[in-house]
Amino acid sequence: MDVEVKGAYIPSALVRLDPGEEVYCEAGLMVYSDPSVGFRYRWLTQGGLAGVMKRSMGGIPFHLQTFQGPGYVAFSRQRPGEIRTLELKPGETVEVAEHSLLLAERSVSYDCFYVPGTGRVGRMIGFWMDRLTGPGKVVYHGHGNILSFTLAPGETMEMDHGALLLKDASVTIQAYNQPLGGGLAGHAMSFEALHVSGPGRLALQTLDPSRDHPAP
Amino acid sequence: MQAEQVGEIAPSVLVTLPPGGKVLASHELMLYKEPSVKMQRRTLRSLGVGMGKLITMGALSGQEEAYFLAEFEGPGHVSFSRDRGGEIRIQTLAPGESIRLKEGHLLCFDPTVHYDLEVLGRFYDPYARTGNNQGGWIYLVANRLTGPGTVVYQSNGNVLSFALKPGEALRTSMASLLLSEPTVTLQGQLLGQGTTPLNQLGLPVLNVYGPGRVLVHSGL
Repeated sequence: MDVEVKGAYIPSALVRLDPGEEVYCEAGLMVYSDPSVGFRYRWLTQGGLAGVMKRSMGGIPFHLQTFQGPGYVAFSRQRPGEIRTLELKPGETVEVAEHSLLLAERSVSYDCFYVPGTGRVGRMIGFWMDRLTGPGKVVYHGHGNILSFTLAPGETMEMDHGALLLKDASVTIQAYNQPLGGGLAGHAMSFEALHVSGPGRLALQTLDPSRDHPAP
Repeated sequence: MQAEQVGEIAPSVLVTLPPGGKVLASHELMLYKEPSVKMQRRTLRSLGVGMGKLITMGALSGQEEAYFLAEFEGPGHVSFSRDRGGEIRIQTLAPGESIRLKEGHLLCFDPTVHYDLEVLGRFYDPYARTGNNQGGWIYLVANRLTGPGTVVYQSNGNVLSFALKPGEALRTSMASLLLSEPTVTLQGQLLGQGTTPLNQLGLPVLNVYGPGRVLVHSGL
C-alpha cells in the first residue's frame, strides 16, 4: 500500500492498493476511487447492543467502510489540516481522537473507547477515541496544524480537550476542571481541560473539530 | 513575553513567559500550557472597562466580548489558538502608540498594554441581519490597544497591509477592515444605489481615509 498526500490546505490521501490489499475508514471520507476498487461494509459489533447504543450517543458510526485493491482511492476529511502516516509495529498501539482517523490498513486492529468527562452538570460529557494496534499503516488527519511532543515519564501537560489528536497508549489522559482564578467564583467559572501525562508520543491539533469553523 | 507563530493552516501562538512574566487572554483561546504556568482571573473592569460599557458595546455590535479574562503567569509556555485559518501578527506597541483592532481577533496581550472598547462608527448596511431581519444600522466595535507592550492578534484569511498618506482613501467591504490606527477615519457609503428594484439597495462599503496604517483581511 502506498500513500501520497495531495494538497496543502484541505489535503487528501491518495492510496494505491495492490490486488488483495484493503484499507478501512469511517463513512463519508472517500473522495474518488478507481472503478476496480472493491467496497464493503464492516459492522462494529464490540460491546453488543449496549456498545452500539453508547457509540450512537457519541456520534460514532455503526460501521466502517473497506476498500479493496487493485486500484487507487482517495480520502479526505474535507477540513483544513495536515495528514500524517504512521507505520505501526506488531502490537504497537496508538489512540486517535474521534473524527481524526482517515484510514488504516486491514492488518491494523480497530477498537474505540470512551474517555469520561468531569461529569459536572452542563459540562463536558466525555469523548471517544479510536484505538489502533499494528502491524500496518495508519493515516490520520490533524485539524489545523499538528504539534508533536514526546513526553518523558511523568512529564505532564494541560490542554483544551479539542486539541488532543493522537497519543501512544502509554500516555494517560484525564479530564479535570481548571478553575479560572481562586475562590468560589474561580471554581464556578472553571472550564474543562485535559491533564496528560507521559511517557510517550503526543500530537495536538490547532483546530477543535467539534466547533464550527467559518471559511478562512 | 516572547511570542512566536506556530503553524500556517490554523496557526497558534506560543508564548514563553519568564518567572513572574504575565500575559492576558480569554481562557477559551488556550490550546495547551505547562503545569508551571498559573492561571488567575481578571475582569475587564480591572483593565478599565466596566460591565455597562461591555453590555452596551455587545448590544451595538451583536458580538460578545468576554468579561472575564485569564492571566497566565510564568515561568513556562502557553499556547493560544483562535480555531480558524488566518495569519497571526505579533506587534510591539511603543509607549502611547494605539491600534484599533476589530473585535473577535485579539489573541493575547501584555498586561502593560491598555485595553479599551471603542465604537468606530455607525454605518447603514441594507443586507445586515438586524432584529427584524431587514437591513439596518450596524456598529463597528474595536479593541483599542495602547502601548507599551506586545499585542498578538489573528486575521480571518490573509492580511493585506496599507500605509495611507494624509487624505489617501481605500475602499473596503464592511467586514474586511481588521485594524486601523486612530488617525484613520471611516465613512460609510452605498455604491450604485438607484431607484429600480434591482439596484435600490446598493453595495455598502467603507471608505477609509489616511493618514495611518490599515490592515484588511481576506476572509469573513
